[in-house]
Amino acid sequence: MGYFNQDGHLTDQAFEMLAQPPAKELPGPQQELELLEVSEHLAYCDSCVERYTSFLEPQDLMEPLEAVSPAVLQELRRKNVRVLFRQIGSMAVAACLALTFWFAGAFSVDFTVVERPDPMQGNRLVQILQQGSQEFAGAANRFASQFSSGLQSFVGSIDLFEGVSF
Amino acid sequence: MTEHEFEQFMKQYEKLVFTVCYQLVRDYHEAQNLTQETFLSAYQHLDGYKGDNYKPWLIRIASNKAKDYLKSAYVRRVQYTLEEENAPEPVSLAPLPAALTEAKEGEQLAREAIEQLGEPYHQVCTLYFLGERSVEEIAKELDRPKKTVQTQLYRGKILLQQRLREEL
Ligand SMILES: [Zn+2]
Repeated sequence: MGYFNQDGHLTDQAFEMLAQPPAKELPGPQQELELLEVSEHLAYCDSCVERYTSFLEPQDLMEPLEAVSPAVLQELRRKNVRVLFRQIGSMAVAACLALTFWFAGAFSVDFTVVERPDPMQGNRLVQILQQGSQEFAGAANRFASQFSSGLQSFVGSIDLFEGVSF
Repeated sequence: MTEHEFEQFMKQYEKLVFTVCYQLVRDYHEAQNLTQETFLSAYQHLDGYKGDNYKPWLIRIASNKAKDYLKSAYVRRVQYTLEEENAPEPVSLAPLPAALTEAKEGEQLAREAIEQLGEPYHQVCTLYFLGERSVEEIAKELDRPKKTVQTQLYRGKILLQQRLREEL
């Protein structure tokens, strides 16, 4: 029997192969393919991962070449700084665009529907629809004025150190 | 988890993760890199992990990292071999070579080759080439990720082609 049984799960032989003592030479193409097949299976099969876990006895575990945590923590800090700069960058772009639109008067557009004589005045449905569109226009205007007045406080409230907890 | 807690977490499990990475790639330096990548990935997904046993969870992440590394090494080597041999690249899951499919006994040979395939290729290739099932259906039936089924079909097809060429 090989490293997989008929159901496609790993055999004891596969776990024994994994537990082989370190060799001086790197794996050849055939062994590399076998390791790929086994890794691929462990990447999705819970029951084989459970069995593999039970095969890994604490006394057999290997010491890493060097402590892992300093490099990982350094990389995490670097990542956080990158995320922070991206956030600042996108907030600056958003603020510039908003200011450009503000000065161009884009937020003071009047959405109010101009009253026109309606040829279908007698139709109730049309009245309901017109009432709805006027309400929308009112809400849109309220939003535009709130947004432009709130813009300064938004720009002012950007916390440069937000998200740098780590 | 605070920075200090995560540091303790790494110290507690670094031997386990390093051993898994080493056992799967058989290369110390690559195992060290993959161990770091495993912890970086674990940190990103720690909040979403609801279980209480970190060992199998970390082993699974490490296996995924090893798989990605071995897969790219495999693809590089296969492409290099194909370029060297000047053979067409079998990237698509197209039918078997024309010379075989046109031959009268080609279909029978292909069928026999599939039956002789070992796992993890036998079931996927039987369902795909003989059962005419879709990748989605196979993934569902065998409880494997769709991507895994695709790569197993890809490699299964290369194995089948190699065996059929030997038969010719
Ligand atoms: Zn399994």
